Amino acid sequence: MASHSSRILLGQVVQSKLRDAAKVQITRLVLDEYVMQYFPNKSKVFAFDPKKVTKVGDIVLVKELEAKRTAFITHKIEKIIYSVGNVRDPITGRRCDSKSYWDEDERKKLFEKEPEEKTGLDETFAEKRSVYEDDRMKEPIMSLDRKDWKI
Amino acid sequence: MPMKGKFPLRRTLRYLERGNVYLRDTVKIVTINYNTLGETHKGARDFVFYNLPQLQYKNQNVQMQTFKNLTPSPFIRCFLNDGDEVLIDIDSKSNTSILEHVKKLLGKSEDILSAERKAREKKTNPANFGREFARECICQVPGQVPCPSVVPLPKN
Repeated sequence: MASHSSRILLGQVVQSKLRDAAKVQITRLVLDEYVMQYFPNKSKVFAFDPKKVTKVGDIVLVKELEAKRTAFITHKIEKIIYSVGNVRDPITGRRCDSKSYWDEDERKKLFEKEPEEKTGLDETFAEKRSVYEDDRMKEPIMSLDRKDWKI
Repeated sequence: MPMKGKFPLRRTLRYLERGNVYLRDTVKIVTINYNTLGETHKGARDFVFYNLPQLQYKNQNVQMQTFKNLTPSPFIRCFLNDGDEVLIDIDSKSNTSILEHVKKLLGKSEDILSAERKAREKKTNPANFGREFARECICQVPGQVPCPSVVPLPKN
């Protein structure tokens, strides 16, 4: 597939243990020559997502990076298309499920807090240099001053 | 032995080769959203059943995916190379009209197809000689006059 200049793929985010990447499952249709029918064929791709914009189950658009970040992370999250449980119909722009469009006012009465909507477009996937820039590492687990240690 | 399944004709090579929609090179992903129930989605369901294999057969490098029961209205959403999107509303349309619509919007026109066919013929045509073809000069063909740079031409 080296002939394609910018390779984009569509897939569903799947659980992964990686800290700054999302594992994306891509299904493509492959023709079975004997049965003469197209069957879905799954393949996995690791996409760079340092700010954890995607949730497990989201449908995302993934784009190939010019240079691989690591041996495994070869792509990056381009855009979140359908957020899981929070699908927005592209024709009308309203949130919906398979039966109807949601009434936003009614939902506000029923649910206090709705899940955050992230499209992934306004997030900057900036490269992080230091480990301590990470949100989780803002407060160290143990104080670094010797006098605070109670031995 | 009879063929098995619903409309087994679509599982023949002849049926697959009948597809006449060649998508443009910029189209990379085609997704079809439809529901498994509902009269307005019937055209979309038929399109996926009858025409999607033909479309995929003629466009092997395009990723085609279907999403079921996500939204109340059916649509086709295509993703192009530069990040552009094409949205086609297929609510209450028959599968033939959907296919025509896709062909008009994203399909290669007849002139582009014939130009491509000519370019392909030119390459495979053994009568053509040159740098971009299989043989650079007729001296490379066994049985012909050898290259004058290697063997000088006779004086007569």
